Amino acid sequence: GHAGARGVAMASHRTRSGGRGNPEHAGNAAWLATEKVNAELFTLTYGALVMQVMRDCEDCVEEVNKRLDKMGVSIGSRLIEDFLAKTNTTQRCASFKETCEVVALVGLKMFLGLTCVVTNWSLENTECDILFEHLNPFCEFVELPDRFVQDDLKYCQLLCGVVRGALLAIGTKTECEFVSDKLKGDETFVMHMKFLGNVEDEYPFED
Amino acid sequence: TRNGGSSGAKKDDAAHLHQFVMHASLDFVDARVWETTNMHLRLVDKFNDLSVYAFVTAGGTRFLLLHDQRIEESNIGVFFHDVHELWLRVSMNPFHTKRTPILDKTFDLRVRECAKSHFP
Repeated sequence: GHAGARGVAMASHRTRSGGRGNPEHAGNAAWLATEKVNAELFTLTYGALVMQVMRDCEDCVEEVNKRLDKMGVSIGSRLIEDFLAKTNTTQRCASFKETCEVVALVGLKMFLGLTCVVTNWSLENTECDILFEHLNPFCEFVELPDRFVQDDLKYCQLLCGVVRGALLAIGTKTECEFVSDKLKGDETFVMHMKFLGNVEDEYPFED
Repeated sequence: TRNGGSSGAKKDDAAHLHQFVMHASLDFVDARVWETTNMHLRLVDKFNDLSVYAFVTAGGTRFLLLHDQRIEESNIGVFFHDVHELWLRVSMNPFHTKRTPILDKTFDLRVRECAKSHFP
């Protein structure tokens, strides 16, 4: 029950030595410790959001993609501080590799319950792929009409924005895009991460 | 690639008749809905050898089954139930509205599979 879940989270805190520990364990512990909401409610809410954006943009897919991304950036920039506080992070990530693992194995697990794999690292460790078996919180029940598949509607773009916005808020510039999308008929969901550089004291948000 | 001719025309006529009979039965569906709390309304209308069975959801979506031979009634109930489950998934699609036709090929395939398994 809830007490048991809290127990798991506290246990992991106590046994944490100086370092970050296993990100998968941290992710699972954080997921267990968080209060949950009904998945269908989330899915329907996100779906309603996308539909409203589509209406606002009069079905212009390019504009919709941009707006979803922008919303994601806004969410991500707020989420990051809460995330770091909840996962008791006292150390900076030593590398982009570590950053991506924390994002994928701790962040996406904690907030969305998603299990994913970080793989396909480039030689300089500046690019990688995050593989998802499913993106059900967002995509369950969703079938894109053909014309939106053709126009390349990026239904899950908000998630890309969240990741990019979160990392940008702590000084890491990235590219984050889905290169494989089940909603468009691909076999899997693959999010491609690319490190662009560090930024110091740059205020990235339009006011 | 069947050439036109009488067989093609007959098929067209049948399709038109079926559509007509189903639309005509809607009045009976609307009446029958008040007579039972079940979603499955069973037989609502007949036209010669054509029978129309109906299933109405809480939100007022009607499933109509047109058949031209007597079949096992119990199978129809289960069939409607399975189609209802498939339809629930479609209705959860944010791109679906009550006014838009369901163009989803997966849904079409699954309903046909359903029909094959319940009415061999």
